[in-house]
Amino acid sequence: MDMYEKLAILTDAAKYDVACTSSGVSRGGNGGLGNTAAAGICHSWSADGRCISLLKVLFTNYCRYDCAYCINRKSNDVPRAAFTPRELADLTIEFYRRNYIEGLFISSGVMKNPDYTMEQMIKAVRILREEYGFNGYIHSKIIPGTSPALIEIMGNLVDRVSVNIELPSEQSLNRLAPDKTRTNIFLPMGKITEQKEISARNMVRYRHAPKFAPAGQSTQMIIGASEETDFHILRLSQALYDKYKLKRVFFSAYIPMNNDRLLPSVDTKPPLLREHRLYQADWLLRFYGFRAEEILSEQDSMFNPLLDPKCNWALNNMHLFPVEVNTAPYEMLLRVPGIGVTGARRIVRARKMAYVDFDGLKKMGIVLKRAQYFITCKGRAMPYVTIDRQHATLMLTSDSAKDNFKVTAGQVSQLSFFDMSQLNDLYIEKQKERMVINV
Amino acid sequence: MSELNHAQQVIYVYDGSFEGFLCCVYNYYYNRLKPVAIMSQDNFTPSFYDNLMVDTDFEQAYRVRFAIEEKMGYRNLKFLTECFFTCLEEKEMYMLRYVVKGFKTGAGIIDMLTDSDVSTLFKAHRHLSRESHSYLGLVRFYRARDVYVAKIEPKNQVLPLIAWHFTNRFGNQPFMIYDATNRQALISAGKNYRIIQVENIEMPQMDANEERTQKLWKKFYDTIAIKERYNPKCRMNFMPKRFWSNLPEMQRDNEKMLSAENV
Repeated sequence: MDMYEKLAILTDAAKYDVACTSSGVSRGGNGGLGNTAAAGICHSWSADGRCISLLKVLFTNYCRYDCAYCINRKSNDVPRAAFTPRELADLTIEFYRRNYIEGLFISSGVMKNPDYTMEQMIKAVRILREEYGFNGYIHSKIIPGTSPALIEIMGNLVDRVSVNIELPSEQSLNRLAPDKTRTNIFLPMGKITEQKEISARNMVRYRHAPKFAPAGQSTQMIIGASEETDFHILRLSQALYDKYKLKRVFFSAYIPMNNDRLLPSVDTKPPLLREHRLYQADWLLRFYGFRAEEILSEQDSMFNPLLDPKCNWALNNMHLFPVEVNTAPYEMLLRVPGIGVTGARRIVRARKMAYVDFDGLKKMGIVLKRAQYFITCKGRAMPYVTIDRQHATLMLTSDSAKDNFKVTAGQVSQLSFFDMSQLNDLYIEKQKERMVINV
Repeated sequence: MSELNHAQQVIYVYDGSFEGFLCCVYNYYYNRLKPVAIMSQDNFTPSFYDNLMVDTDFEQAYRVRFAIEEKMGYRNLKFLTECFFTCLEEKEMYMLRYVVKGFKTGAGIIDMLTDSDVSTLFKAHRHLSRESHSYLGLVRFYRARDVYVAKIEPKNQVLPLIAWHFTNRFGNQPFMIYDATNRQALISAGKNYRIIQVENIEMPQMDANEERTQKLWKKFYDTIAIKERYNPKCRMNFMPKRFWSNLPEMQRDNEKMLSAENV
């Protein structure tokens, strides 16, 4: 099999992996090839609008496991291939020299057993790091069930490691991925957290102590293949951030590939809006000081499809608004819909020098479309804007959203009485219509 | 600027360099001539106003530069230096007003985001830094003999901002990036780099086996997209069409190849 064909098979098999970030570590060049930037660098964008930062491939798509949702499961009849460690290393270098990529993302199907697979992956990474002196970004998956010794070796070679938790609950995992267990996912995850702490301590003591996975660890789970609520998923992410100090939790809208009675039918559309809402909420957890319990609750366990989580929260907590931009603490500015980390920082900078009014906010590049219903400047609201829950709800629900869900203005202003599940059905229907037009 | 008793209104003409601009600032204070515009020699057009030819004098430039750092701090000096690379129209006038205000206000001028001159420069600067960051990813090299070469067509002068990143990244690998908009070339080998003005440049022929690597890259690019998530608008937001002509993955025999059927 030639390289061209191999690359096609192993890229196709890897494309459902979400993580493509190259951020989290800033490392200058060492005279050899490569450096990394803390912000991460995107190199291209594919036709689905997702960024391409790393050469994302599987080492092999031969797999012993039979996970229901996976295209590479052993019971599927798909073309199989495997790189040799050298082929993969050479390809990475060739692409890197031309600035096509920021580094390598390596994952794999399970050959023989998890340890054997990891050893093969380590070989490829070793060639890159030790033989070619490659100093760029590498992200490696840890195969569930890998022994701790191999995790330690891999973690010292690469920038980021990740173990996929695959599904948001143990029941779903047992049902859909019978070869994987909760323990052999969480053990490596815990090992990585522990190893990172050890490495941090050692770096204080010894000058040349190796840095274990400097860009931290991440994970991903599939959304929409099983029954968990948004609240459950969000609480799980929060626990992962708190307990395992994860850098990122990625969500992947389920795209049906296999006809399996355990899974949604093959003509189900990927729940893209739900995935989007989860990411919005994930940002609120990581950068805005929110807790999962503020965003959703047991009773209200699914996201509002018409409004983003922050707007939704603000409308349910109108007693905290309006916020005076000139005096409000930074944390409160962050909670205003339409004002993000950049905007809040800019306001804090500017108000040290002069009073900020609405014109000033515009000059700073703050978009008032959503923020206007929640702020005052020098004690005054924006001209012609009333600060009121009903009015704001109506204005914040865009016309296109109303069209999509066939909701009338009256229904929107009484959002709490409106049946959310009904909205979701409508949304899916609308999505289907749109897909037909696109294809 | 009103409190300086300027007798007449003129157009400053300078050589287009940052030092030249600093000399304009020097002239503003010492010759008490209020400029209505500051133009570089290259895009100078005659008008009814009188012209003042500002000669670049390194002594004067140094004094202004020193004063800026002294009164406003290094952050402002760096900000102004970078603003000079932006594609903002009449950037020299905005920068002059910034300096004048800055001498009065001090280091805090950079935070006066509600001031229209500051905010205009701030936006232009943000445009520049965003574009430079995009180009960290969107420069595409090809191999020509032993050198890796690339061509870019940015709106701002991004080369000074991305030069160190690439020099640092490629170690001993010699490379060149040609900026066709500003007719500048970044050449680098080892730890050193230099940005030179070039009149006209002919891009060298690519090596014979380069086509194979580009083909592999295109294959990767096409395969990585998920058909069910096809979203060309989103791609366009991040990677507008103006970048496409220099990206091998976007070069197709026909446009259709980039649409849904081929994902």
